[in-house]
Amino acid sequence: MNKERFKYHLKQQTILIILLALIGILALVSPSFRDPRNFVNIIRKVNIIGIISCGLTFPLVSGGLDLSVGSVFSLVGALALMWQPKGLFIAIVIPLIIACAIGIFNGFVINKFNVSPIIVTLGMLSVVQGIVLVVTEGRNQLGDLDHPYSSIAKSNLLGINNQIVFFIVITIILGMLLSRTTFGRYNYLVGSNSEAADIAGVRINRIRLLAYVISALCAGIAAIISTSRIATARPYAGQGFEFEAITAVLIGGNSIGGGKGSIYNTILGVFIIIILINGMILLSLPYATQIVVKGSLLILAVFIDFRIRQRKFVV
Amino acid sequence: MTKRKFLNIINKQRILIAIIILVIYLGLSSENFVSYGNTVNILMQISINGIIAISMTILLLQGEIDLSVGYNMSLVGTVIILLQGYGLGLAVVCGMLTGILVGVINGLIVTKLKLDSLPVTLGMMVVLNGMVLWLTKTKTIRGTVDSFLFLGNETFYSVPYPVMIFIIILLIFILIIRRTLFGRNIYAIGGNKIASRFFGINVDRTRFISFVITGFLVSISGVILASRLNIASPNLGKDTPLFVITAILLGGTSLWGGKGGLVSTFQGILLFGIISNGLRLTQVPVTWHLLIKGFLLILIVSIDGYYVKRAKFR
Repeated sequence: MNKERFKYHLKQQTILIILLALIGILALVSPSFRDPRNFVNIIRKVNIIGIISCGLTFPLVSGGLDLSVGSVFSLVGALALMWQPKGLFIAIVIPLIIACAIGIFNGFVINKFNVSPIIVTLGMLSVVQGIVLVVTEGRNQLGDLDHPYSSIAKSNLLGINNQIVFFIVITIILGMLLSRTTFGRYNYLVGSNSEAADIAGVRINRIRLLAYVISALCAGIAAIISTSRIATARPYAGQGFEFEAITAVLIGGNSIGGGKGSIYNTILGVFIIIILINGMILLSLPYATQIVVKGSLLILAVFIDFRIRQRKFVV
Repeated sequence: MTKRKFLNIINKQRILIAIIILVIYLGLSSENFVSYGNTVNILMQISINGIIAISMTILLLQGEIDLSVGYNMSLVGTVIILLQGYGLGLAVVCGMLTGILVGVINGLIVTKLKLDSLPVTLGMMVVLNGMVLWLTKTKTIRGTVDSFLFLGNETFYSVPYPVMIFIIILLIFILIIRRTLFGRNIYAIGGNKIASRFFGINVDRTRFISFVITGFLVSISGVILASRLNIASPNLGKDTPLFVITAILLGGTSLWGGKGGLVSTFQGILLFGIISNGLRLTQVPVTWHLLIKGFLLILIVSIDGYYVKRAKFR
């Protein structure tokens, strides 16, 4: 491998290098970071935000954005625990179908009325949060720890905890879907130039709609895994998840303008965010600092994304 | 008057008609609605969001947006409540400077780094939330100086001060938008940014000034809010962007820039205020309010988008 190519590959993997550097520094500075139990902690957090972020990658790649994932997370979690006595099937499948319906509604309004996805999903964020409040009457939903529902996250498959199995399986499926199927490739087409894609015969409306369905469905799955572990659903459980997920997706190097990104990038971004927050907690920085850092990271990510796009146009 | 002309008028004044119908309906169904007290109450409730809506309209007319207004207002209020002990004047000045500074930073990032205002202000919103949490230590803090309360709670010839401030600012900005070069430039930029640049309009300066105006007006509403509630809390201002944007779109200002104005914004915010008031008077449970308001936003942007799309295909 010559020098030029090495440099090129190095540039491609900037995010990975940053992640490894972050892990290295934290491992040096904080003894509790090196603790295996902390590793489990990180995986647990990555698992929830990771699944949401991977779903969110689809609308982002196709040129949109979904702010309603946090509320969908709250809704599915609350409904699943409410319907738990009615049986495993109803508790899992019906809430997920409702999540899909929310995704379809998002996609439908965005397609049909040509409205900015951010505004629609911002409205949807309050609508779904409102539904949660109406359904739960603002109370926490408690599940039964002995119910088979609770074993979804707790049992093991081949000695590996189910949460990790779910995370790996879902990311592989979504990664394949985005990079190896026609639907996935069309996402990039729609995101980079929807008019050209339309003229080329891509059904852009269907692609966009499916992207929102995937994002809502993933938020729902994350909610089921989460509520199965802790058997509690707060009505505001998912509040702020949308920002964490968007920041993770952007930090990973996906573009907010659409047409660029991958599940691999998203996962790197998720790890960076979660490990950074975990490190700040271990170094006992106050909660407020964490939020300020999160917000600043989002602005930074938007800035980096812009610079990359700008350079592309110049060259 | 021909039928067509009549329909045209109805179409143009649909917000006003909606307000009239709603007022008649609420007046008939709730005996408390038509009273001087309730009217002042509605105006009082819309005045804080209304002041923010004025600045947001100026941004939306240029195709920009600021999602950080809610937490900016909350931050201004927090600074004032925390600094009250060192003198009221100092506290208010510091609070307002903070709000304006946020506007300046937003403006600089958007114009100098040439970033989209939506993600930038989304990030700013999270940053400001963090700062409020940091300043209040995630607790609700009560103000200690009682003389500060007059601004938010007392009346001038039975008109509350916030309402008066809102009306005065509204009138000033209607004049600015309609009669000054700055106002003209705003519409030009919203209509076509590139063309306005070629016509010699300093697009970046106009946008920057608009963000600073936003910071200024937001800090005024922050002062009023702090004076009215006399508390600083990390939960204040959470839903402000949603309400303000919904109200503005309700009034008929377009998200895409160049269409609308402050009079329509006033109509929109009034209609939104009447809806909120009506929800409370007709005893719709509080849990439903968020749902209804969010759905309203989606409905309105859909109608707005539908008209834009239809106009394009004609």
